[in-house]
Amino acid sequence: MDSDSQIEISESASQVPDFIRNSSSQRSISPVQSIRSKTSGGRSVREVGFSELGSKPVRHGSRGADSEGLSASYKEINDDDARLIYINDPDRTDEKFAFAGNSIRTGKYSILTFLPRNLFEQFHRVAYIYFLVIAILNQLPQLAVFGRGASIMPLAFVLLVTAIKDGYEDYRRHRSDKIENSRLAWVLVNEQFQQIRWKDIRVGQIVKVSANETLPCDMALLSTSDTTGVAYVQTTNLDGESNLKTRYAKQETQTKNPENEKISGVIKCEKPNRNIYGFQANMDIDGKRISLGPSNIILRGCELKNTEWAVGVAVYAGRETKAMLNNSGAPSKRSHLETRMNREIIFLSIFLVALCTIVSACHGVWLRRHKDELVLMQFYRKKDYSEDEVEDYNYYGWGLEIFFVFLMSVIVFQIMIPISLYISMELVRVGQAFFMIQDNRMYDTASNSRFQCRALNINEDLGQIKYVFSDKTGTLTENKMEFKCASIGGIDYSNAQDSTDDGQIGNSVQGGGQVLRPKMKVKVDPELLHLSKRKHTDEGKHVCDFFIALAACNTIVPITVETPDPAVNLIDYQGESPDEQALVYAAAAYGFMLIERTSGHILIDVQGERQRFNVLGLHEFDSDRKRMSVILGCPDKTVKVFVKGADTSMFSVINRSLHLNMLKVTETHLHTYSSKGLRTLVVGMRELSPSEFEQWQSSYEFASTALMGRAALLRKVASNVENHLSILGASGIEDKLQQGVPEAIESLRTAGIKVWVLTGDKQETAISIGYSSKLLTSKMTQIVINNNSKDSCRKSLQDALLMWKKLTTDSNATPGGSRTGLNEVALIIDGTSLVYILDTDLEEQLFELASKCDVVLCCRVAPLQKAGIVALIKNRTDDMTLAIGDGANDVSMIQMADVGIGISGQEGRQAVMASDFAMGQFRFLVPLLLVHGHWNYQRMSYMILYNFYRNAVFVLVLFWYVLFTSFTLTTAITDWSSVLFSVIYTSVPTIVVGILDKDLSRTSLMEHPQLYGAGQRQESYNRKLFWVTMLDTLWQSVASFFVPLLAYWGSDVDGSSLGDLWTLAVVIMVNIHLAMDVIRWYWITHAAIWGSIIATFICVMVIDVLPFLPGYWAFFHIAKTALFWLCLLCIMIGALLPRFLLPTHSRLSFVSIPKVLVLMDCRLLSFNRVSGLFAATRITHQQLPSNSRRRSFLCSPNCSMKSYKLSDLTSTEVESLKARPRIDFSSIFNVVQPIVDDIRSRGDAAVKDYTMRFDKVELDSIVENVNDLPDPVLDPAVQKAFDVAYNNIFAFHSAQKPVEKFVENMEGVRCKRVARSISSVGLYVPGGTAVLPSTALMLSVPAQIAGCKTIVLATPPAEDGSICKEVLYCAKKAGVTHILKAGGAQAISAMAWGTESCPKVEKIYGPGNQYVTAAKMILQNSEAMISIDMPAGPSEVLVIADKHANPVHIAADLLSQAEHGPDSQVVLVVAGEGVDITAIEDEISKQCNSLPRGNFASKALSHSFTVYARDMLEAISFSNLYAPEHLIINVEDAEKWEPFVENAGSVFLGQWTPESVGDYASGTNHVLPTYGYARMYGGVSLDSFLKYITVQSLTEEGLRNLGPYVATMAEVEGLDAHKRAVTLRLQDIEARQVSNLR
Amino acid sequence: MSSEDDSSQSHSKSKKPKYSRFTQQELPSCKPILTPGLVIGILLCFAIVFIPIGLITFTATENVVELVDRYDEDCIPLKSPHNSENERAGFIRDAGTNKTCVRTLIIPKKMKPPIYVYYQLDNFYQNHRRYVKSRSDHQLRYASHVSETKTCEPEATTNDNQPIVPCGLIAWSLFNDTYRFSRNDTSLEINKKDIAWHSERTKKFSSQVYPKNFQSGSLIGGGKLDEKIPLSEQEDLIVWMRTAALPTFRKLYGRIETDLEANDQITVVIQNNYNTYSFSGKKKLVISTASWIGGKNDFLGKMYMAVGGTSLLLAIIFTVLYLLKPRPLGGPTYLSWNRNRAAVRES
Repeated sequence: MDSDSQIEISESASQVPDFIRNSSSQRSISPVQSIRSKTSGGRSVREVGFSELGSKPVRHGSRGADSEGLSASYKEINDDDARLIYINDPDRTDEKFAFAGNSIRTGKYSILTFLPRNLFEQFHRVAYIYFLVIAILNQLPQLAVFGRGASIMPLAFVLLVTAIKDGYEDYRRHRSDKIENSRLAWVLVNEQFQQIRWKDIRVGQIVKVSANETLPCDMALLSTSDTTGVAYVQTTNLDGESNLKTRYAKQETQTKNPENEKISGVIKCEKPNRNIYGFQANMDIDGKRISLGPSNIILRGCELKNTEWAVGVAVYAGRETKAMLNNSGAPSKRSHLETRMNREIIFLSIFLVALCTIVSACHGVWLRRHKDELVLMQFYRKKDYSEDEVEDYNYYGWGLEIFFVFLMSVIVFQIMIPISLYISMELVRVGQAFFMIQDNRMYDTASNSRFQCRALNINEDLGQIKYVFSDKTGTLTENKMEFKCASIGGIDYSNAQDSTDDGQIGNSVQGGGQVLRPKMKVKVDPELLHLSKRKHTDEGKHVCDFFIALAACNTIVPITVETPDPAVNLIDYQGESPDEQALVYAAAAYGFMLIERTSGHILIDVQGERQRFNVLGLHEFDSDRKRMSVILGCPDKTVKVFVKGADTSMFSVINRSLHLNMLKVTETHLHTYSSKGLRTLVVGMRELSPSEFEQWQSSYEFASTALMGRAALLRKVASNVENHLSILGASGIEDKLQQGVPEAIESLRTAGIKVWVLTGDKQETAISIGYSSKLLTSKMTQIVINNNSKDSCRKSLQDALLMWKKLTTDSNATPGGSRTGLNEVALIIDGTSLVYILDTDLEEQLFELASKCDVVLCCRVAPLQKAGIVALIKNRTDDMTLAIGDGANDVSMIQMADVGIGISGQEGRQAVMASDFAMGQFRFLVPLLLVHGHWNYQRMSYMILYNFYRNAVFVLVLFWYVLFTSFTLTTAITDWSSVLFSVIYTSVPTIVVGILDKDLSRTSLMEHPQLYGAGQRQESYNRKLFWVTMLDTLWQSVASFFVPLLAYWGSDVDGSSLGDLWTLAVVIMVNIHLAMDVIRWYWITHAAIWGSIIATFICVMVIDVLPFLPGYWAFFHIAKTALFWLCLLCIMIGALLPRFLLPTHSRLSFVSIPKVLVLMDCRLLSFNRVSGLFAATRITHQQLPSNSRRRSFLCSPNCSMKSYKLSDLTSTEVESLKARPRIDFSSIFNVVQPIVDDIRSRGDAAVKDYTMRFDKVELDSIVENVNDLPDPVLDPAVQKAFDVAYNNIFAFHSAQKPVEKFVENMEGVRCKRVARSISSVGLYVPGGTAVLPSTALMLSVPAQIAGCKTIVLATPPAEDGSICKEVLYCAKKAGVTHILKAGGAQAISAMAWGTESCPKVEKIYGPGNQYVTAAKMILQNSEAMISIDMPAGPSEVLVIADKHANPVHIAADLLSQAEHGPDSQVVLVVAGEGVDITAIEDEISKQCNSLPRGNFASKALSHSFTVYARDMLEAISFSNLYAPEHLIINVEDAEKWEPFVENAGSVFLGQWTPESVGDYASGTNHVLPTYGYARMYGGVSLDSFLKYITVQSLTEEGLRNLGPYVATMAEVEGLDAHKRAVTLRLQDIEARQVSNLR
Repeated sequence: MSSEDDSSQSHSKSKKPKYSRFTQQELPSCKPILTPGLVIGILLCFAIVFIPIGLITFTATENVVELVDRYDEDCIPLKSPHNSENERAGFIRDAGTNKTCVRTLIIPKKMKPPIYVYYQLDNFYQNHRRYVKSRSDHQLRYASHVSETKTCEPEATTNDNQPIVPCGLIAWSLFNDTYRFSRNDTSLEINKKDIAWHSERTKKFSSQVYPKNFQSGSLIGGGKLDEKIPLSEQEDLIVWMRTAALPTFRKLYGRIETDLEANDQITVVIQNNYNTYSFSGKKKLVISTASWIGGKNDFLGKMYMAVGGTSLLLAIIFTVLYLLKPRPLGGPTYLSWNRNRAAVRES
């Protein structure tokens, strides 16, 4: 083939012309292409003729070219951005010594630089600089307020400790560096490989690495021991992925042996960067230019595996290697609380400046007022007379004095800014992290991983999360792929069963005296297994191709693992994609075992026979094509291309002209699979003719060596060959949901956290996972946005917003009500739409919509879009976001969110490396957020407030004293106490409390996720609390300062003694303050608090026994006096009394909700609350939908009901009462859908199977012809009863017959409506917990009257397979034609689809359980084209009773519905006063206990309730709101209330009308709308079996009268043919009339 | 797919955190709850403790007999509006003027010994930063350190650089008024022994250090010291050097150790030497008995009664409210989201 064939390069990958056809025509070269090296022309491209197929392997170099997921951008290398490497010539390579050597230094310091650098690093912290500035100020003699030692000590201490810690760490790093640097490697020196130390390796040198050795630097591969140039590396150290990755040496260099022949060439590659998945370079060697990609480089830190040796040239060394560049940690985030805290710090700073200003200003005034006296004043003495020359002593003029006083007051009041708080916070966070890591409940046994805290500064953010963004695969699901089913050649094989252990035939192969067995076992479908062995049949061939495709079309590397049994070896399939692993294991299970893979060939054991396939080409998966393909030279000398990929991308390349039927069936199968939540892949194949192959090959060679736009070129080549495929089949892989995910999501949502799922999966898969994980419920309104343009996106968003508004106004019909759980909205949006929305003006609209939705599901999103969505929320609200994911594609999202959590799962450690916290399972999010997050937040916010208070109180005490010292900053409290105050006296208790205190127990927090809301609403730390605390601080400081001051006023007390009193007073006070706020006292807390007080006493004593201090012995003198102790006592009580009494005093007020729980925790049941006084704070919690768990919490387990008083309830609460116990259809749908599908495809057989499975009855035939059955013999009394019922029902329904009559609207225009029966109807008579022959009557009688031709009655058979004889009797009497002996969803499906024996019906009637209802709902919307009578739910009754009603009757009526089933609901509405409710309750218990179905009844009663209404009007209006199925009005003059009833299924008036009469024999129908549907449906009636046809007939006159109007209207609508149909006739009439006239 | 037992897995060590009540945050703890009953109880306790203490303290201070006589205005012939402060200060500083002043005091109630004689200075900032720093504790303590006067500026050395002992502003400004008491013309003994703290006489002021170069400069701040008496016995100095906490302070002058009857007439001969006129300070002579709680300061007694009274009042109010409006059991029904389930009544 002409190698100069020119190819058009179209950068838009979407429409790729079929270049094989075009390649012969001369096209112009695009400018980009002109750089192409000339040498790549000529005949240098290796040709692979068919004759030599397989002998010489063709390599496939596209690996990695497109698979870079995240950040690699493929710009061409400029000379500026490149480094040139002369192979085997390090001196020339690194002429300027600009490249790093290979020695690494992770240590930061050397002995010389340690001190300055460490100090420099430490002073990066603002806090330390503040410390330092203050300390330096204090060193100035004019400002020396504190003793110099005292002021420097704390800073010096902190610096020293940190320095020692840093020094030790650095020492360890140095040691490991030394070990690392002196490892040995084989390097080519003087044409010979010699061992040199790692640190001496230089860029450009050739290095040889043997198997299982670690790579010393980043190297471009030259050659490997494998003839095809493959090397396998394990990258665990780099990214944590334990599977093997394949790397390739270029063919041009593979053959060279550097020891024998000198290799010289130049590699031009990128500058060092940290992208471990990207590399781009060109290599000029032997006059040829070849390109190198990420698949040609092996990185430092990886290990060489399964390859004897590999030779490469060092391209990056030492700190420039990708591993080292990636060594830095995740970017640090700042805690939200800390950010908010800084705002308060600014207040404190302002406060500090204010204090200092006051002091300095007052001092200025004082100086001015006494300026004449200063010289002589004994205590000032401005002048120094000791020298001959009298000069000012320490006096610098009025202005400067004021300034100095200002600075001095800054020094004295410095702890107003609680610098120690920053250190305490770090210690507390370490403690909290310790507890999180140690938590057993967050340990994952499966992956043996603990919780990890990678970021230490955002612990408390965990307590304030509002949004959770979750990845799906690997996070919600396990990412353990399991091959579930396949559709091959249009046949669905999904009956996988466990293969028995002894039946190893298909599961292991003999090879060289050894048995090879795959490591994983797969469940196999016996039918398919059987089929796969019959290769000679067409079907067999098809299956065979399918499995060969599965086994071959992948990048899996089989690795043989030895087992203890020497005869058996296991094959472990290693690969990057778990889907592929699952497929290969599946193929192996069916006897197509991949044994060996090299780059040139693969060996597959096909049913015991080893076959060698030559791999001629491989197009790897990329996200644009969404498919991969492999070109195989098969043993039968044919060349085939096997393709597998996502269904959307595959169906576009499949040849639709072939096997159209099969294609369609496969499509339905795919739909079924994905609705089950399976991941689907479609497999296709095409045989290539020699010419096609040749064309492909040359273009492939060309593309893979191209320098520019190689990825696009390769993609194009792939697209060209992946075409006109014939379909082989499809596979379904299950991605199992992780343990506890639905529960976790439910808890999170109850906690008020919005959970968003962002996944790369298909919409169907995502939705099905959404359902199974309880994210979506059938109650939710789904808004789906799938658009392809910006405009349509805009429109969808607007529509969606409108819809949302409508929904909310609907549910808020009553003003003031909040949204109930019934109107939740889920937004489902796909990646394509997001492309048009994110980063455009539509973002705002999306945000508006999304923030209103309860659930957001984004499917098909790219990694960067994930981050975009997080940013959407993060940038627009203050709400905290959390992202959780496990894969590299989640990294951007994890780093974007306020809190990023990595799941240490299957997909490597990229996410974990980027995350702030890492854990094993999604469900740990619940304890992490609800428990630890809550605690962390509470503890931290309390600690911050407390520290503010603690320091401010001390500063204020100092300040008050300054006012009494003529504003000269004398402190009565000694310098040392001032310094030790925040170091020793008070620091330990706050840290201990910050680590240990728990406001609520773990149990309470887990049981009531709503408690989490406290953090979201920032209840523990907000501005109000701050100011309240500051007020309290002011009071306490006043009390603790002025009590001693006034008590000692005018006495002979000295400064030191009073100072000691103040010191002790403040320290004891702040510690007791803390003690009052501690909720749980551990012995450690006791030790810390009381210990601190004791330590303070000891410190004060020690300071006072130092004779060189002026306060010598002061403490011992003052402590001898009673006044001292009385002062202390008085201060404590006086200062803390307000805090003790005011409810705002702490996190726990007397009425706050958590307090109630604290009490629960304490099991203190006799808690009474004092009203009013303590009711100052009331924490409002959002209203939450009811929930059965919580209901059950409230009611006792016996036969009793809850009661409400209507007049006390708000409209919302009334609304919530009308809600029925919720049925979650999502899980039911998942059960029912497969049954429906199965019946459709297998018919009778499937019905039999399900009847066998569910009803335990084996049937020969499922349908009986009623006429063929013998008449049943009934007990005469029973027969009589049914006869009476039949007659009544017949009479009542006959009367409903419509009257036909013509209406003559105009003269000659006659219309009428005629009724015709629905010809074929299906009646469902439930069996289940009660046999209901009455239902048979209720349904079949109207059908009979209507005249339906085919009436199929479905009812579950009795255990012996017979039909209940009463049902049969009724059926016969009412003209039923067929009886289907089946129940449940299968019966409904059989009637809807029609089977071999069961006729297809048009409409299905009858009540049933949830499965029946679900089946009806599914089928109504399916292709079965059936109609249903009405949505059905559990039975219910509402009884309105007044004082005239008999309690016994009421109780009996209530129980008559309650006994239907546990999900029934009964409501008693008591109208007016004087009803003996206790009598009714007693009666209910009494009757309930004596009923055989009493347990059902009591369960039903547990979610039923009594409502008290003021009068009948209120009672009826509640009933109308509730819309009950049965309404019993058991009051005086019941008839007069009938006109008021608006919504009800059937009404029973007066005390003598029990509901049962309607159920059986009064004549009315008992198939009635439940569940509130009585608002819009009526019960089954004759009309239900009829449809109406309208008939019109016009006379000539009629048309003349009407025609012109019709013509006019048709003209308006522009429908000329309509018009003509009239006008032509009218013309005829006219013509005739004219002719008649003649 | 079911994974076969991974042999390597079972060998590797489980990282499961070891269970301990500490690491799982399950340490036993005690959770005191402030129930209204407890609150009322505590308040009552406060009342019960505080009111008696207040009463006792108050009576104790009431029984103290105290005489205060301000003499700085009366004991100087130059009267304030006519003579400037400088003239008055000049009069005091002039060694030649007669500063003797006689005051007569009537004892209002019987006083029992020990009767303390104090001098009280008002508006004298002994806690002024310049003042309190200006001393050398080393010099006072060790004879060998007498020249350590660096901290004593501006009274560190004489003009010829001899160290002043005791140096510093505090010592320099030593109070030097003297009082001589007589009752009904018989002189009344004032015991000036042991007026300073024992700890200071023994440890802080050395018996080896003698005053030197004291008050030898041009500006005399106050009293002079007998250079033959060691510092440890200069009790007036020791008392003076224990600086007062507040700008109004008393210092012990001596003790009268005989009974003083009511209506006894006490004549005090005062040498009005100390200059308070330069900064409008006040000088007072105080004769007072002492109780166990100290001098005649009833603040603490009143404070105790106030706190006790408040507690009692609150306790009563709470009790009334508690009896009038008792609340039903606490429990999960009080959680707001359950409260919304409305007026739940178990029936």
